[in-house]
Amino acid sequence: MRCLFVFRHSPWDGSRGAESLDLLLTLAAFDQEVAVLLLDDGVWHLHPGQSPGVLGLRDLSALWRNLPLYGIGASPWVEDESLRARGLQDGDLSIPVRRIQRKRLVAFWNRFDVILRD
Amino acid sequence: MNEPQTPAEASRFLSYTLQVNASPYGGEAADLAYGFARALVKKGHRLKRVFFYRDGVYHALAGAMPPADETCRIARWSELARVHGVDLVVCSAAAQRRGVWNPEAEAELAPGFRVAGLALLVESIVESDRLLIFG
Repeated sequence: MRCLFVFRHSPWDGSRGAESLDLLLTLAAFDQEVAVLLLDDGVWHLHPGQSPGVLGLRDLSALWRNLPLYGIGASPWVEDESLRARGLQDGDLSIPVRRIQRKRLVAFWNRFDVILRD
Repeated sequence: MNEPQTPAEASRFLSYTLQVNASPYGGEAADLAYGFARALVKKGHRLKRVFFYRDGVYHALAGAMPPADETCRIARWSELARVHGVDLVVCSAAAQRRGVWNPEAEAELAPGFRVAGLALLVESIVESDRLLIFG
């Protein structure tokens, strides 16, 4: 089963990020082929130098950096427009990513059997 | 219960897993999930499982007593489970985080709900034709 997991919310949106990553890693642990796409505020997940502990949130950055250890070897996809709107470039991110343009997303969805989201 | 189906009839229907992330009183998403689930079983489709995740786990709180002129958004799921045998599953980690369930205290869940891990959601997704996410 080819799965796409879409993150559209910032990492400081309560426990949303932690619980979404739990589901993402469970999918991978059960040998599902999972790709990750970061859209909108989801791109902030890969912005380095955050202090989630200040907000009482779990630090997810190590999980993101170690996705290959959990069976998600391919780099996440990041939407160009979402990065640009936030003044970010892929060089600013904590791990290597693949870029995709918004106009290509509709065709992109069709590659997957199921789409999950945060 | 659903009408018995021949294999040929059954194959006309898809199987569904619903993932409910929305809290029962937080907005429209939980109402849509219930309406969709009820429509599925009434039309004879296969509703494999409803998996309550994130704030959706509040659906399993026992003892909700809304005012008499308001539909209880928990009891109606229990009724769906009782009448149609729908499998209502609450994520153990999400429920523990929110105090809805505690493995040591044997806290009671609303009727028809049971607790399981995320692995069961993954299994459900793999075995269903469709996944719908609410909230």
